Amino acid sequence: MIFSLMFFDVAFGFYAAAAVSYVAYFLFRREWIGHSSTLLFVLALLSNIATLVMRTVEIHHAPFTNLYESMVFFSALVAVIYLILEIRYKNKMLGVFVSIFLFLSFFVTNLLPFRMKVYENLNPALQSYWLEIHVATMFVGYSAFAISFIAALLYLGKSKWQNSFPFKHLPDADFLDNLGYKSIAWGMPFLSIGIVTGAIWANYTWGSYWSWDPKETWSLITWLIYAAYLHARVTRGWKKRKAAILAIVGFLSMVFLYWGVAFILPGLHSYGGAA
Amino acid sequence: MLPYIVKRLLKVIDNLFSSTKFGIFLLLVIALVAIVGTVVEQGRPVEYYYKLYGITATGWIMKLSINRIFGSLWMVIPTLLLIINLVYSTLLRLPAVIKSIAVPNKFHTFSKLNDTISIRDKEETAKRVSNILKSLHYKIYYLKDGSLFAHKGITSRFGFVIVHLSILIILFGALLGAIYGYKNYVVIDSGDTKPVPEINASIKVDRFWMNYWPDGSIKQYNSKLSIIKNGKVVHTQIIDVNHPMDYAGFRFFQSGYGKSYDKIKEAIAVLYDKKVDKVVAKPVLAQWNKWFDIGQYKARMVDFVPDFYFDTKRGYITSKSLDYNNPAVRLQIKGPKGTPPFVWEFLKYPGSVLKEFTNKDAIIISSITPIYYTGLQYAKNPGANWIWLGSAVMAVGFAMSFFMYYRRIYIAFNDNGNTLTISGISYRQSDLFAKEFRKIINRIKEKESV
Repeated sequence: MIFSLMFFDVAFGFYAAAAVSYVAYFLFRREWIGHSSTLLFVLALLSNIATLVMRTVEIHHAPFTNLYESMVFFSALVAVIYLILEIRYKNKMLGVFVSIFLFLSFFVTNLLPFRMKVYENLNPALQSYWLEIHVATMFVGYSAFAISFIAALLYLGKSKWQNSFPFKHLPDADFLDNLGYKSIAWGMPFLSIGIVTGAIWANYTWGSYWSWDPKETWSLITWLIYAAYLHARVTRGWKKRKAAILAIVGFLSMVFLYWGVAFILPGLHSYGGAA
Repeated sequence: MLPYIVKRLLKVIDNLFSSTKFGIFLLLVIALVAIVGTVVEQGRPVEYYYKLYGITATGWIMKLSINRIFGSLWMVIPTLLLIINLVYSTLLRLPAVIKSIAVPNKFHTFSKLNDTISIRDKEETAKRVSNILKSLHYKIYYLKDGSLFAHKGITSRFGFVIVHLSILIILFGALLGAIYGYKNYVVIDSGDTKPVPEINASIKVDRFWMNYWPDGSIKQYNSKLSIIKNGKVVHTQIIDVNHPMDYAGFRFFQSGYGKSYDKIKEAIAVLYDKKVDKVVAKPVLAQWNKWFDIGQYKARMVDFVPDFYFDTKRGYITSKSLDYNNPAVRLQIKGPKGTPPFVWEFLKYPGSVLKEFTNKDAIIISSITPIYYTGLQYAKNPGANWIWLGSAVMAVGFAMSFFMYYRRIYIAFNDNGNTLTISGISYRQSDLFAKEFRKIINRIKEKESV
């Protein structure tokens, strides 16, 4: 357990350093700062992955069993997606927001009490290969939604104050809108597969594919909001602003689905380490 | 012919159900109802709401079925409206989509992507351009005036139809489940057999056991089940929490366990002599309902209650709860004259019935080994396969919508064949298409040295 916890701290540190460096790059726009930002970000991602690998070695199965492990997995996915974007679009400006986002997600994860950071024996219901399939697909969806959230926020800012700081340094509004749409176009199928694999698993273990347990219900709520987003985007006469707002609401719903349900609403999914 | 008011009404209905905005509104309404359903806990007893929300609010919660919101009209009405909206708008938009891809329309004046290229030979260039487009898997149409129309990704334009169809299939499955789905629960003590009328057979629990992790926490619950039909075992299977048993259209799940509340497996019996304050016979391992000899007595355990309670008004013995708070065993005893035929033994108060027995002897029961029962849930859901089918169809629809896109290119030759005008447009993924369009132009230009 000790190694995964140690790599977690290392990753946390590197994300913090990367966030500072990206902000410096944003402010001073020196190329060498940009390079060091990317380097720090890559180091953060590597230690993030090392945390997952060590945890897998320690517990002998995929590290998806509690909130802590899933947050580390989620962060790694977001970081990977961002790096692909940075390389593909050769633009580091989004890195500021992504690295701050990842720093914050490590920060809240670090706030979890110690008993929730260590591995607990799998309860009988979780001992199934569906755990890996269900959680992995769900989290690809979550991480895509995180990117769309950042893009939507920046889109709203950019379309309102395109020429003032800090938005004047950002990619143009069309790019941000398109990025938001693309993330959701990835997130939505994965969320759907996640919900369905969850239903198949529930049907196999609990005898019913849907029981309106809070986690299930919130996954449906999130799905409905993103469905609304996809339709808002093709509605004639509607500005992209409305779609962007729905993308933000969808992400907030996802955060509630992820964290809120575990801490506030009881139910079948309450194992997650929280209840 | 129709009266004005009816026409007006039809117009309003048409406007409403063909509207995407109304669809979005309904999606969000359903989301809102679902949120209410998670904030107010569902299916709790009235007292729960009363304690939490007070009497007035509880009245409203009951009246408006907010305690059972997911099956209520709050959910059903927006869902029905959404189905109508979805079917109507899909059917309405389908012809427009077909039209937009079927007719090669000539020039995209509204296209952001266009370019004019000087060429050397019209015939040769036309051939080359069509080869380039073919290599990119475009479908090409040669128009009468010598211009070219090409498009690709037609299937993606029908993605929304497939996704909408998948939602109908899923809702149909849910409806089937709601009507024909069946669920029941049976509790069977380890070693016992109980009839399960739904499968026209009995189930015997040969054994129930638990596995533990090294730290003592529970790893798995297991039951070995036998299906008995006409006195014969026709099927035997071990189930655990993630491995149910399928039999006769039903699926049997390991979904509960506990200590039996009407019998025990075995216990240790000793004979105690009050006068000399001593155990006077060798302790016996007594089996449930089996006679055993102890001293000069013969006894057997015939009844058990986990939480002894004597109802003085009605004069009978019962159990206050299913928990082992005050377990008691009833012994049937045969012995010398004056021995009472039955006596209750309290495990927490050994020997307390001494007076009622004889003036000298008591049989004391201790160290009971409980029998565990297994809780089996069994269910049949004819809608489930429709749900899985719908999900697969949805995956196909999403792949069509999100991972493919429709684009078309129009190429015309002008200036007596000295220039070529190319324009392109895509439905979705405009950035990807812009890249592809650039690539096509560059490949055309390659051989047209100017």
